[in-house]
Amino acid sequence: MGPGERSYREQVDPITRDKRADVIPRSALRRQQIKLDNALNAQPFRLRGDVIFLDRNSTGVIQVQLNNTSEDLFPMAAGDGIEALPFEDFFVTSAAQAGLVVNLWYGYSARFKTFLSSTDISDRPGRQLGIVRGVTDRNPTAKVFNSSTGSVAPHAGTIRWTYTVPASRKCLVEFIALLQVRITAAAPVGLWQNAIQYTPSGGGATTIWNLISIGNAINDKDHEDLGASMTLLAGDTLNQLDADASTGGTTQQVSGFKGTEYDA
Amino acid sequence: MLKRSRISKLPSGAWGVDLPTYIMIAGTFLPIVQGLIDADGLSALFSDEDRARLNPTVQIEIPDDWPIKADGQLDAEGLRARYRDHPRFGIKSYVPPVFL
Repeated sequence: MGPGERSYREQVDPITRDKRADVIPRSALRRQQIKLDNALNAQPFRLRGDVIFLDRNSTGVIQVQLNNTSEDLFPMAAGDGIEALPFEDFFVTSAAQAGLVVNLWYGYSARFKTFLSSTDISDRPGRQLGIVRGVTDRNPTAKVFNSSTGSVAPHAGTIRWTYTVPASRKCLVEFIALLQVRITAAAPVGLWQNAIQYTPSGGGATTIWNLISIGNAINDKDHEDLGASMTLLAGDTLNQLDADASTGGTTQQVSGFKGTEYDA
Repeated sequence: MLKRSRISKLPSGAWGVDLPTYIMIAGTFLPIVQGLIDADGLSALFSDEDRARLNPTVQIEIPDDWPIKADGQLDAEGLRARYRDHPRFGIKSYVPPVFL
């Protein structure tokens, strides 16, 4: 290319024409946010351009068809884009994803770059890439449960706290503590216990940590602390249970649990 | 938020409150019945018949973000939706206990 000559791009970039010959300023880059609370079935959006891109604030996953619903569905999530394919109709199909959105950019002759890291991408493309966001980036909420019976007489098995993981959430169990101590002697002593039960969604309750004693001396005690130990899935339940089958006497049974609940 | 609810025999056979998530408040069992119910729990002798006759209750703490209707009761449909993956709490036949 000789001096003074302009490249093809330099000549055509100031304006770009779509296939209907509408003149679009090349700077036109527009954004459309699509809420995914409700399911979408080939929902049409009139978006003209030849570039489309889902930015890193996109939290949901969609399937798209350009120009015509007879096309095959193309999955898109944060960081995905399509370039150099003129379109004016954009059809979105999606399952209901409560609270999630796609943040979509479209226009002409743009090129987006994205750097996917372990903390700035949504979960699903992350899994596809073998990367999963950390718990603290997925709407974390602390879950804390505790119980203390005071000085309690012999009693039937009682669940003093229970925690069930809501739908679309998980919980990282970070700490569990169990303690039991005899306050006054029984006559005669029976088995007294303080336990944690785990019930996987659809399964039966299973005692996974248990302090059991038949000690009958004042201040007989058991104590157990557990650190980060398990992940609870949606519908899983963790609960405490204590009981004392003695006759007379009193015990105190204490428990504590801390976990972080986050988007599944 | 704090509520008072009836005690149930749960599927595991233990006594508790038929809710997916709660914390019992210590020392709040009612009524106190010598030999059967004290402030911290139910006697090992406590039976299903005693439950039907005495209707023991306990104060509990439930999550603040649960769906509560204007009358202070749980929105059953909202609660089922929240636990829709759960084989019991997520289905139509589950009705949460009435708060007292």
